[in-house]
Amino acid sequence: MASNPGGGSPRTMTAEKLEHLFLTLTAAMLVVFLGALFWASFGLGMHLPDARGGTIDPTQVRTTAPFDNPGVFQVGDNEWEVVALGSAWAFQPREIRVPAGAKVTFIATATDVIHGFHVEGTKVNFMMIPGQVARIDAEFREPGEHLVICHEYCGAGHHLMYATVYVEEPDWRPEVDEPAAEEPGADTDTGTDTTPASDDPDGEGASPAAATPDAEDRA
Amino acid sequence: MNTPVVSQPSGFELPDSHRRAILFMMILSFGALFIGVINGLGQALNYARVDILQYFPGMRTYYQGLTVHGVVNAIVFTFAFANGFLSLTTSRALGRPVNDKFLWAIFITMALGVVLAGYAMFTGQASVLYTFYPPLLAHWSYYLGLALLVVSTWITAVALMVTLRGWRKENPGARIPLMAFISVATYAMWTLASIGIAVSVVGLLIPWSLGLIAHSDPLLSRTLFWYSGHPIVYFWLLPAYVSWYAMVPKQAGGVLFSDSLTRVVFVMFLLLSIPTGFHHQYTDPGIGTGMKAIHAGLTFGIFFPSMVTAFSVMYALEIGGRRRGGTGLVNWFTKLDWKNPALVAQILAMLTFTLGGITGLINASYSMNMSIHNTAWVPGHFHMTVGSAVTMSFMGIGFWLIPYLTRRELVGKGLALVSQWVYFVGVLVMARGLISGGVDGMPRRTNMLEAAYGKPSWELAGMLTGLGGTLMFVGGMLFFAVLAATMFMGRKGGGPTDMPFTETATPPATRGWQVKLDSFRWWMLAAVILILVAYAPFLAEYLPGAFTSPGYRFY
Repeated sequence: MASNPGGGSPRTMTAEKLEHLFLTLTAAMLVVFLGALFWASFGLGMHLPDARGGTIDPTQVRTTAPFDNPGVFQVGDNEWEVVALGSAWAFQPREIRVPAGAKVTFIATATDVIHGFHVEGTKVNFMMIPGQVARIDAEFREPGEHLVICHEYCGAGHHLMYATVYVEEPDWRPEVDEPAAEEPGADTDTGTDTTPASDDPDGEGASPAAATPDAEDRA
Repeated sequence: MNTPVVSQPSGFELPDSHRRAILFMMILSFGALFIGVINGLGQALNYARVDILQYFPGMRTYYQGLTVHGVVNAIVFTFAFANGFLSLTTSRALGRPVNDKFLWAIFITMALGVVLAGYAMFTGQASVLYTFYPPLLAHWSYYLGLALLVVSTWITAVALMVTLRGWRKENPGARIPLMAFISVATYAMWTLASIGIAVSVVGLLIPWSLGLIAHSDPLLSRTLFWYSGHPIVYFWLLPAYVSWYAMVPKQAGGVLFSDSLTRVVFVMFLLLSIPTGFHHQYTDPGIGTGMKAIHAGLTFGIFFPSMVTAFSVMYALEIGGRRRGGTGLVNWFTKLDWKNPALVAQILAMLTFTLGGITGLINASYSMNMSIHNTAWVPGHFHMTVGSAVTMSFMGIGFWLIPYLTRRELVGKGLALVSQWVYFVGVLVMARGLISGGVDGMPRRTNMLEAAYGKPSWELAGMLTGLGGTLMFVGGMLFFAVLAATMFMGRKGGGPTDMPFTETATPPATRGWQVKLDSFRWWMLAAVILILVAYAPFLAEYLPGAFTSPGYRFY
């Protein structure tokens, strides 16, 4: 692209060579970076949030399964579901306890404005957008405690909105009288029976026609 | 053999009315920056747990201050500067002043927009930040004011196109002078890019804020916002690039190497700026990973022209440094004219931009984004792009532009130099704080002083943020002192009589493929096709959308 109709001096000829070398290396670097990213994502399974959670009428969230019963549920041998809600200015549940190494699926949405859900120190980081259901697969490898911060501005009390993820030992299971647990232990005792069917939100909430035209909650 | 980047290298006089209109735009621009910098100090100190916002007149909450900070800096300051500066560069490059009726229409539209949006913000009826994601609801005058600010850029685009068309009629078959080409290319890109925000604000949010439609679609408005919200960063940046390509080589005593490569860079920005918006929405549910991956790839593509720029501009500086007696691998850099504030500001801007570019590439890096999305990392990143690369370039341009427009000599050259060094050190310290805090989970856009949570390790990050922000404030105030002193006390008749412009070592080709670079029509068509590739699959699946969210005023 740097043809030189004017007849190049030695200096400009060198510049052309340098320029070509620099641009070739730049292009190669970007291709390598992009390749590494896609390998990490599609090869190693570091997935971004996607559209599989479906949609929901944000004004009917609290009466729509599974969000009528937010909490942490054991749904399999080592599989857990966290049904989470963001509302101004609190998360439900406020405390999330799961064992290390378990497969944890977050199913989440917002009841009013946009909120954010970032489990600090991990890659669990997604938006809670009214009308959209987020479905995120995660695994916490090490026991420990993580802040969950609402990281999308949601009004005057935005900075008050947080929750905590407690990652317990791998063999941890909730006790019946676990005082700190958000959900009554009885729920988890019966295992999968009380579990919200994970596929429900995909189908049920998918109708935008369910909008209530008279909803005028302007605070 | 060298060719100037303007069509009439000698003898161009900007008519007085044009001079005044552009000066008014610059006053609006730097006036907005002044308010933005003051609010910025409040933001930075909040991270250091010092509350000064309570003493600001009219500022009731942290988020009100943050809204003002974002709007006046990211929208008013940048738009007003681009409108005025690129009208001037186009006029100068074509030797043909943009019609001054356009210039006054641009200024009045902007002023009206500022009054409307300012009213809503300062009365606390629009504390929704400059991203204004629904269903947070602001007063209608806020949306209308922002819409008018966008309209002012459209008037500018029309003004530049009309001027270019007139020039082409008089010069059939001639290559567009380089400085005009890159100025018009910037507005061609932004015209396509601003459609998203216009549809969202005018079509959805204004009727919604007036109660004409009951519901918003948060994901759709977010998507439309980021359709414009990524290319807007190039709309901020490209006026600085116009200076880096067309003026800085001259100010450094060098020349620009390649005419064609410069045009290729701006064509790439026109093509690739827009189909990249989903990289701001990697963490959004409701958008498939396939489309996100496509946007990631295109975002990496847009990094390329900036790397070309790094080469071209550094090469031009090197020629300048060597002409001034520099030798060896790095010695030429120290031989540059470090006493010229206009040049120094822009060299420092370029240095921060290398870090801004690298952190931006990390933001765009698909799965890596999940570690830092919406943390303090992000303002750490963009204060090294728009907050310094753009801002310091505009300040540097101001050091010759204000004297040129007022015909007064720059007052306080030494102070001007100090202001840029202080700002430069400040932005690096602040970015270090924000970036380290962000990696450690410290959120952005959050009233940390009153936050219900915290980590001990955020304390150092917060202190550095406050310290760096304070230095930026001091540097900014020194800059405004220089500007005000020049405007009121500068020696009359002492300003430059012409603006700086460089020459290119390789002239624009008169035949071959390079001639086609000047065909804006085809490039814009190609840009539209790329936009359709990037957005049509999502919209086809998503529309008619989910208009189910009523509005909330949670502030």
